[in-house]
Amino acid sequence: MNKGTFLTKYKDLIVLALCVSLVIVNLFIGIISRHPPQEFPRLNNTVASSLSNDLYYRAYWKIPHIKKGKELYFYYHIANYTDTTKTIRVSVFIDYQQQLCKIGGEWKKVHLYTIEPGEYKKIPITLKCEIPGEHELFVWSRLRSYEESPKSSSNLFYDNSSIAKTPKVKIIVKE
Amino acid sequence: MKYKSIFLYFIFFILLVCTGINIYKHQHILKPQILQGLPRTSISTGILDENGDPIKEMPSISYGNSYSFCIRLNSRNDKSLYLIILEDYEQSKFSTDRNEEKKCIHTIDLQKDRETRIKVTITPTKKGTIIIEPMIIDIYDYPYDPATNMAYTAGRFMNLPALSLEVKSDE
Repeated sequence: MNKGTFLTKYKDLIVLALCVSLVIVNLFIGIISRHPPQEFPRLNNTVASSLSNDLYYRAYWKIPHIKKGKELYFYYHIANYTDTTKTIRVSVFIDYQQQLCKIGGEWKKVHLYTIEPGEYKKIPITLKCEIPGEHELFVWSRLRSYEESPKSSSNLFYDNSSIAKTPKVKIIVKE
Repeated sequence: MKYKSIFLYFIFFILLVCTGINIYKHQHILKPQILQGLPRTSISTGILDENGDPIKEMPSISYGNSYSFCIRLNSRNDKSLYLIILEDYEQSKFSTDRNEEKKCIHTIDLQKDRETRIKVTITPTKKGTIIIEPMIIDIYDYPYDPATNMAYTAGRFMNLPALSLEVKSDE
Protein backbone atom coordinates (compact mmCIF):
# COMPACT_ATOMS: atom_id res chain seq x y z
CA MET A 1 0.00 0.00 0.00
CA ASN A 2 1.56 3.33 -0.94
CA LYS A 3 1.46 6.38 1.32
CA GLY A 4 -1.28 8.16 -0.61
CA THR A 5 -3.61 5.18 -0.46
CA PHE A 6 -2.96 4.77 3.28
CA LEU A 7 -3.83 8.43 4.00
CA THR A 8 -6.97 8.24 1.86
CA LYS A 9 -8.11 5.00 3.45
CA TYR A 10 -7.47 6.01 7.05
CA LYS A 11 -7.99 9.77 6.87
CA ASP A 12 -11.05 9.65 9.13
CA LEU A 13 -9.15 7.60 11.68
CA ILE A 14 -6.21 10.01 11.56
CA VAL A 15 -8.52 13.01 12.09
CA LEU A 16 -10.21 11.11 14.94
CA ALA A 17 -6.83 10.41 16.52
CA LEU A 18 -5.91 14.10 16.19
CA CYS A 19 -9.23 15.04 17.82
CA VAL A 20 -8.53 12.67 20.72
CA SER A 21 -5.02 14.12 21.17
CA LEU A 22 -6.44 17.66 21.19
CA VAL A 23 -8.96 16.60 23.86
CA ILE A 24 -6.04 15.20 25.89
CA VAL A 25 -4.08 18.46 25.47
CA ASN A 26 -7.11 20.46 26.63
CA LEU A 27 -7.62 18.16 29.60
CA PHE A 28 -3.93 18.49 30.48
CA ILE A 29 -4.13 22.30 30.36
CA GLY A 30 -7.30 22.10 32.45
CA ILE A 31 -5.54 19.99 35.08
CA ILE A 32 -2.40 22.10 35.38
CA SER A 33 -4.40 25.31 35.35
CA ARG A 34 -6.28 24.29 38.46
CA HIS A 35 -4.38 26.65 40.63
CA PRO A 36 -4.55 27.30 43.46
CA PRO A 37 -4.88 23.67 44.62
CA GLN A 38 -8.09 22.56 46.24
CA GLU A 39 -6.96 23.16 49.81
CA PHE A 40 -6.45 26.85 49.04
CA PRO A 41 -9.39 29.16 48.39
CA ARG A 42 -9.52 30.70 44.95
CA LEU A 43 -9.11 34.47 45.07
CA ASN A 44 -8.52 37.17 42.54
CA ASN A 45 -4.98 38.36 41.97
CA THR A 46 -3.44 35.23 43.33
CA VAL A 47 0.29 35.00 43.26
CA ALA A 48 1.32 31.76 41.63
CA SER A 49 2.91 29.06 43.64
CA SER A 50 6.49 28.01 43.51
CA LEU A 51 8.28 24.96 44.69
CA SER A 52 11.54 25.28 46.50
CA ASN A 53 13.47 22.99 48.79
CA ASP A 54 10.39 20.86 49.57
CA LEU A 55 8.56 23.85 50.96
CA TYR A 56 5.54 24.92 49.07
CA TYR A 57 4.56 28.50 49.49
CA ARG A 58 1.95 30.79 48.12
CA ALA A 59 0.98 34.37 48.76
CA TYR A 60 -2.48 35.70 48.16
CA TRP A 61 -3.00 39.14 46.97
CA LYS A 62 -6.20 40.92 47.87
CA ILE A 63 -5.53 44.62 47.34
CA PRO A 64 -2.89 45.53 44.80
CA HIS A 65 -3.91 49.20 45.04
CA ILE A 66 -3.46 50.86 48.42
CA LYS A 67 -3.46 54.37 49.78
CA LYS A 68 -0.24 55.90 51.06
CA GLY A 69 0.22 55.18 54.75
CA LYS A 70 -2.68 52.73 54.90
CA GLU A 71 -2.07 49.17 55.99
CA LEU A 72 -1.99 46.43 53.41
CA TYR A 73 -3.04 42.92 54.36
CA PHE A 74 -2.21 39.72 52.59
CA TYR A 75 -1.63 36.08 53.35
CA TYR A 76 1.51 34.09 52.90
CA HIS A 77 0.85 30.39 52.62
CA ILE A 78 3.50 27.92 53.42
CA ALA A 79 3.41 24.17 53.91
CA ASN A 80 6.08 21.77 55.01
CA TYR A 81 6.08 18.60 52.94
CA THR A 82 9.25 17.26 54.53
CA ASP A 83 9.65 14.81 57.41
CA THR A 84 11.41 17.29 59.66
CA THR A 85 10.33 20.37 61.58
CA LYS A 86 11.44 23.49 59.76
CA THR A 87 12.24 26.83 61.30
CA ILE A 88 11.80 29.55 58.73
CA ARG A 89 12.51 33.27 58.73
CA VAL A 90 9.91 35.25 56.81
CA SER A 91 10.69 38.68 55.35
CA VAL A 92 8.83 41.00 53.01
CA PHE A 93 10.67 43.01 50.37
CA ILE A 94 9.43 46.06 48.51
CA ASP A 95 11.67 47.11 45.63
CA TYR A 96 14.29 44.71 46.99
CA GLN A 97 14.35 46.42 50.36
CA GLN A 98 13.43 44.48 53.45
CA GLN A 99 10.40 46.00 55.13
CA LEU A 100 9.04 46.14 58.62
CA CYS A 101 5.93 44.00 58.57
CA LYS A 102 3.48 42.90 61.22
CA ILE A 103 3.00 39.21 61.83
CA GLY A 104 1.32 38.05 65.02
CA GLY A 105 1.09 41.60 66.39
CA GLU A 106 4.81 42.35 66.13
CA TRP A 107 6.44 44.75 63.65
CA LYS A 108 9.78 43.25 62.64
CA LYS A 109 11.89 42.76 59.55
CA VAL A 110 12.48 39.07 60.15
CA HIS A 111 9.80 36.82 61.64
CA LEU A 112 10.58 33.36 62.94
CA TYR A 113 8.16 30.51 62.27
CA THR A 114 8.25 26.82 63.04
CA ILE A 115 6.39 24.45 60.76
CA GLU A 116 5.85 20.85 61.69
CA PRO A 117 6.05 18.09 59.07
CA GLY A 118 2.89 18.07 56.98
CA GLU A 119 1.70 21.36 58.46
CA TYR A 120 0.23 24.11 56.32
CA LYS A 121 0.22 27.70 57.53
CA LYS A 122 -1.64 30.71 56.33
CA ILE A 123 0.32 33.63 57.70
CA PRO A 124 -1.44 37.02 57.75
CA ILE A 125 0.97 39.85 57.00
CA THR A 126 0.38 43.56 57.50
CA LEU A 127 2.49 46.08 55.67
CA LYS A 128 2.69 49.84 55.29
CA CYS A 129 4.06 51.69 52.32
CA GLU A 130 4.64 55.44 52.48
CA ILE A 131 6.10 56.00 49.03
CA PRO A 132 3.53 56.64 46.30
CA GLY A 133 3.94 54.96 42.95
CA GLU A 134 4.42 51.51 41.54
CA HIS A 135 6.37 49.00 43.60
CA GLU A 136 7.43 45.40 43.40
CA LEU A 137 6.78 43.15 46.34
CA PHE A 138 7.79 39.63 47.22
CA VAL A 139 8.07 37.47 50.30
CA TRP A 140 10.98 35.25 51.08
CA SER A 141 11.62 32.54 53.58
CA ARG A 142 15.00 31.51 54.86
CA LEU A 143 14.64 27.77 55.10
CA ARG A 144 17.84 27.24 57.02
CA SER A 145 19.60 29.15 59.76
CA TYR A 146 23.28 29.94 59.49
CA GLU A 147 23.94 27.32 62.19
CA GLU A 148 22.33 24.66 59.99
CA SER A 149 24.25 25.76 56.89
CA PRO A 150 27.37 23.96 55.78
CA LYS A 151 30.52 25.78 56.78
CA SER A 152 33.76 26.18 54.90
CA SER A 153 36.85 24.37 56.15
CA SER A 154 37.99 27.60 57.82
CA ASN A 155 34.64 27.86 59.68
CA LEU A 156 34.46 31.49 58.53
CA PHE A 157 32.04 31.16 55.65
CA TYR A 158 28.56 29.72 55.42
CA ASP A 159 26.73 28.45 52.40
CA ASN A 160 23.51 30.43 52.27
CA SER A 161 21.60 28.80 49.43
CA SER A 162 18.40 28.39 51.36
CA ILE A 163 15.93 31.04 50.35
CA ALA A 164 12.48 30.40 48.90
CA LYS A 165 10.93 33.42 47.21
CA THR A 166 7.47 34.13 45.93
CA PRO A 167 7.15 35.72 42.51
CA LYS A 168 7.14 39.50 42.39
CA VAL A 169 3.81 41.27 42.73
CA LYS A 170 3.18 44.72 41.43
CA ILE A 171 1.48 47.07 43.90
CA ILE A 172 0.39 50.62 43.40
CA VAL A 173 0.47 53.08 46.27
CA LYS A 174 -1.79 56.06 45.72
CA GLU A 175 -1.53 59.50 47.27
CA MET B 1 -19.67 8.67 4.53
CA LYS B 2 -18.91 12.11 3.15
CA TYR B 3 -20.96 13.81 5.89
CA LYS B 4 -19.14 11.73 8.52
CA SER B 5 -15.79 13.06 7.26
CA ILE B 6 -17.08 16.64 7.16
CA PHE B 7 -18.38 16.22 10.71
CA LEU B 8 -15.01 14.90 11.84
CA TYR B 9 -13.16 17.77 10.21
CA PHE B 10 -15.59 20.18 11.86
CA ILE B 11 -14.97 18.62 15.30
CA PHE B 12 -11.23 18.74 14.64
CA PHE B 13 -11.44 22.41 13.71
CA ILE B 14 -13.51 23.23 16.81
CA LEU B 15 -11.05 21.37 19.03
CA LEU B 16 -8.13 23.14 17.41
CA VAL B 17 -9.72 26.52 18.09
CA CYS B 18 -10.56 25.48 21.68
CA THR B 19 -6.97 24.35 22.24
CA GLY B 20 -5.66 27.64 20.91
CA ILE B 21 -7.98 29.61 23.21
CA ASN B 22 -7.08 27.36 26.13
CA ILE B 23 -3.35 27.83 25.60
CA TYR B 24 -3.80 31.59 25.19
CA LYS B 25 -5.90 31.78 28.37
CA HIS B 26 -3.47 29.76 30.43
CA GLN B 27 -0.24 30.95 28.94
CA HIS B 28 0.73 32.49 32.28
CA ILE B 29 0.85 28.97 33.71
CA LEU B 30 2.76 27.54 30.80
CA LYS B 31 5.12 30.52 30.64
CA PRO B 32 7.48 29.67 33.51
CA GLN B 33 8.40 26.41 31.85
CA ILE B 34 9.18 28.28 28.65
CA LEU B 35 11.05 31.08 30.40
CA GLN B 36 13.27 28.66 32.27
CA GLY B 37 15.15 28.26 29.06
CA LEU B 38 16.23 31.92 28.99
CA PRO B 39 19.99 32.38 28.97
CA ARG B 40 21.28 33.44 32.35
CA THR B 41 24.32 35.41 33.27
CA SER B 42 27.09 33.20 34.42
CA ILE B 43 28.75 34.86 37.38
CA SER B 44 31.36 33.56 39.73
CA THR B 45 31.89 35.22 43.05
CA GLY B 46 34.15 35.31 46.06
CA ILE B 47 34.85 37.29 49.22
CA LEU B 48 38.27 38.72 50.08
CA ASP B 49 39.55 41.14 52.66
CA GLU B 50 39.75 44.85 51.88
CA ASN B 51 43.22 44.47 50.35
CA GLY B 52 42.03 41.71 48.04
CA ASP B 53 43.67 38.87 49.99
CA PRO B 54 41.89 35.73 51.19
CA ILE B 55 40.29 35.93 54.63
CA LYS B 56 41.99 33.34 56.82
CA GLU B 57 40.67 34.13 60.27
CA MET B 58 37.55 35.69 61.69
CA PRO B 59 37.83 39.46 61.33
CA SER B 60 37.02 41.56 64.36
CA ILE B 61 36.20 45.21 64.89
CA SER B 62 35.07 47.40 67.76
CA TYR B 63 31.43 48.35 67.97
CA GLY B 64 30.74 51.57 66.08
CA ASN B 65 33.59 51.04 63.64
CA SER B 66 33.26 50.09 60.00
CA TYR B 67 34.40 46.90 58.34
CA SER B 68 35.42 46.65 54.70
CA PHE B 69 35.76 43.62 52.49
CA CYS B 70 36.04 42.91 48.80
CA ILE B 71 33.59 41.08 46.59
CA ARG B 72 35.05 39.52 43.47
CA LEU B 73 32.74 39.02 40.52
CA ASN B 74 33.28 37.54 37.08
CA SER B 75 30.66 37.64 34.38
CA ARG B 76 30.39 36.22 30.90
CA ASN B 77 28.18 39.13 29.86
CA ASP B 78 28.00 42.87 30.33
CA LYS B 79 25.51 43.05 33.15
CA SER B 80 23.98 45.28 35.80
CA LEU B 81 23.25 43.65 39.11
CA TYR B 82 21.91 44.61 42.50
CA LEU B 83 24.00 44.10 45.60
CA ILE B 84 22.46 43.82 49.05
CA ILE B 85 24.07 42.98 52.38
CA LEU B 86 22.33 41.15 55.21
CA GLU B 87 23.51 41.44 58.77
CA ASP B 88 22.14 38.50 60.79
CA TYR B 89 19.26 38.05 58.31
CA GLU B 90 18.44 41.79 58.23
CA GLN B 91 19.24 44.02 55.30
CA SER B 92 21.69 46.74 56.23
CA LYS B 93 22.94 49.94 54.66
CA PHE B 94 26.40 49.94 53.17
CA SER B 95 28.65 51.93 50.88
CA THR B 96 31.00 50.80 48.13
CA ASP B 97 34.16 52.20 46.59
CA ARG B 98 32.01 53.26 43.62
CA ASN B 99 29.25 54.91 45.61
CA GLU B 100 29.96 56.27 49.05
CA GLU B 101 26.33 56.91 49.85
CA LYS B 102 25.05 54.46 52.44
CA LYS B 103 22.16 52.59 50.87
CA CYS B 104 20.37 49.28 51.26
CA ILE B 105 20.81 48.41 47.62
CA HIS B 106 23.58 49.26 45.17
CA THR B 107 23.70 48.71 41.43
CA ILE B 108 26.87 47.13 40.09
CA ASP B 109 27.93 47.09 36.47
CA LEU B 110 29.92 44.10 35.32
CA GLN B 111 31.92 43.91 32.14
CA LYS B 112 32.13 40.84 29.98
CA ASP B 113 34.95 38.46 30.92
CA ARG B 114 36.55 40.98 33.23
CA GLU B 115 36.95 40.52 36.95
CA THR B 116 35.22 43.19 39.00
CA ARG B 117 36.20 43.85 42.60
CA ILE B 118 33.92 45.92 44.76
CA LYS B 119 34.99 47.16 48.14
CA VAL B 120 32.05 47.14 50.50
CA THR B 121 31.99 49.01 53.81
CA ILE B 122 29.45 48.28 56.50
CA THR B 123 28.96 49.55 60.02
CA PRO B 124 27.47 46.69 62.05
CA THR B 125 24.58 47.57 64.30
CA LYS B 126 24.90 44.51 66.55
CA LYS B 127 27.52 43.25 68.96
CA GLY B 128 29.02 39.80 69.27
CA THR B 129 29.60 37.38 66.43
CA ILE B 130 27.46 38.44 63.50
CA ILE B 131 27.02 37.00 60.05
CA ILE B 132 27.55 39.30 57.08
CA GLU B 133 25.84 37.96 54.01
CA PRO B 134 26.31 39.70 50.66
CA MET B 135 23.78 38.88 47.97
CA ILE B 136 23.82 39.53 44.27
CA ILE B 137 20.46 39.83 42.53
CA ASP B 138 20.31 39.22 38.83
CA ILE B 139 17.20 40.90 37.47
CA TYR B 140 16.22 39.64 34.10
CA ASP B 141 13.19 40.66 32.18
CA TYR B 142 10.39 38.43 33.28
CA PRO B 143 7.26 40.23 32.14
CA TYR B 144 4.37 40.91 34.46
CA ASP B 145 1.30 38.88 33.68
CA PRO B 146 -1.66 41.29 33.66
CA ALA B 147 -4.06 38.49 34.60
CA THR B 148 -2.32 37.74 37.89
CA ASN B 149 -0.40 40.97 38.43
CA MET B 150 2.85 39.14 38.98
CA ALA B 151 6.18 38.28 37.49
CA TYR B 152 7.21 34.70 37.85
CA THR B 153 10.43 35.40 39.64
CA ALA B 154 11.79 37.98 42.00
CA GLY B 155 15.15 37.69 40.27
CA ARG B 156 17.99 35.28 40.68
CA PHE B 157 19.61 35.61 44.05
CA MET B 158 23.18 34.46 43.82
CA ASN B 159 25.01 33.06 46.71
CA LEU B 160 28.05 34.65 48.08
CA PRO B 161 29.56 33.04 51.13
CA ALA B 162 28.23 34.49 54.38
CA LEU B 163 31.06 35.71 56.58
CA SER B 164 31.43 35.65 60.36
CA LEU B 165 32.52 38.90 61.93
CA GLU B 166 33.23 39.61 65.57
CA VAL B 167 31.99 42.97 66.81
CA LYS B 168 33.65 43.70 70.13
CA SER B 169 31.98 45.76 72.78
CA ASP B 170 33.63 49.09 73.64
CA GLU B 171 34.02 48.08 77.27
